[in-house]
Amino acid sequence: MNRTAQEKLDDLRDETLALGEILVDSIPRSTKVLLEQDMEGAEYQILADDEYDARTIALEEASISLMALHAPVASELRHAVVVMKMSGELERSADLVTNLCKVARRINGHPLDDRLATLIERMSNQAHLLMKQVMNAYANRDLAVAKSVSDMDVYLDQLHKQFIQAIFEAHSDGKIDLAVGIQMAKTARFYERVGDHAVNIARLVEFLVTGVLPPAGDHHRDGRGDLTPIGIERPPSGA
Amino acid sequence: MAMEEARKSFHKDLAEVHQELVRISASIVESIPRGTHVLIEQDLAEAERMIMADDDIDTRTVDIESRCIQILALQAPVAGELRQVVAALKICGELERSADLVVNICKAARRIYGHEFDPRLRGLIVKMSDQARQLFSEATGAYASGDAARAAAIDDMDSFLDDLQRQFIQAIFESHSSGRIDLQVAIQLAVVARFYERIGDHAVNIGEKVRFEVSGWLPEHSGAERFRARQASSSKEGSS
Repeated sequence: MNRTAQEKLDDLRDETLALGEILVDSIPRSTKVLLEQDMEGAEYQILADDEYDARTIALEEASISLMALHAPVASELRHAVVVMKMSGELERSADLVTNLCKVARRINGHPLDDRLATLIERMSNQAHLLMKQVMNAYANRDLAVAKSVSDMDVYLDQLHKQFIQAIFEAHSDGKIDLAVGIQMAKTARFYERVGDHAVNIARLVEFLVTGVLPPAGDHHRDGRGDLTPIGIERPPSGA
Repeated sequence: MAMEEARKSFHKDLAEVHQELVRISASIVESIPRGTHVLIEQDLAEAERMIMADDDIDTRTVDIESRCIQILALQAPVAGELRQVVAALKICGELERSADLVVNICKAARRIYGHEFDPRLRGLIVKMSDQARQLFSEATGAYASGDAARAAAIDDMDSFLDDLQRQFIQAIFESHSSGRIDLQVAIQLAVVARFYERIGDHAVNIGEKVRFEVSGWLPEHSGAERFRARQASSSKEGSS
């Protein structure tokens, strides 16, 4: 029980990276489930998500208890806060990936046309790339990679728009029915939101490395205002 | 004496963070019908005002986040007070993204400016907006008063909004196939439906943070419970 905050943080980091890896791998796998309508694969991912939830909650609790027990400061505090926030991002991303498998169940027996399938694959590849990059950025504390993620996300947003248009066209050409069209619109949204979570994680990595919390949200806009490092060192004024 | 002073300022800090978040949250509640008005009435001047105002919310939420981290660093709170800071840190993100979604509604309004859409779609948009507003208002109230029971009800209210969203998507497809709206308008409206739905999701998330703050409850517990139950039953089978 004499483990230092740093040792505990190393464990949290390893678990965060392990969970990140599972998430990254699950993106192409769930896309395959969707495109090949693999019901067994769907069942597997849906069950695995419960374990994922259990691990993210344990990670979150561990980061909060680390703050409570060790009262870390400076970069250790930043790291604990980042893990706490990242656990939520990972958990929700995994839910979105699991939703792809739920869509696969709902549209089981309704084939998708080639154009939709191709676009799904491209969205999946891009979401996978984003998540992989941002987890690498976290592993290596790589600011340059973290900063590239929001631009990569613009590409995913564009694919998403293209896909929505393709759904409407497939529907008006009578290639898919209404119910499948609705499920496809949701599918596009799931990939897009995985990308948004990657951008949120990138922001946390930036904070971890620089101590400056970049503005969230509309990440495609230029940064505004001057950002002062968060004074873990000294109280703001009070004097 | 110095200790006492520090405690006092700590409680003051916590109270201020809480009040500021309640204020931001209340302003989002109010912005939801305004964003809907922009969309339905195609009010471009109001759209511009709302898009500009979002910068202010972004700045305020980043300030609160920074302040929470300061509190963690300087005061090292534990137990319920630590939960308050953690909840505040998380609620910041939810508020910031919710405000963005309202702005996105205004941006969608700009994109479809000059294109009519039928009364049935308008009616459904107003319904989704009312429901999203109500959810957010409940989340704000639950956080303001630390009411876990009120917070727990939000999740069920949200399924009504999800139903409305499904109905709306169906209505869009129908309007489009009967030629009443063109493809671009249909796409924008489908995206708008998603914005309302996600505002509802954020309200649910805020409710979860309130439950965590009050009782230490975390939402992922339900999936985690299922996992533990399966583990327990499979190890029992193994041993028998």
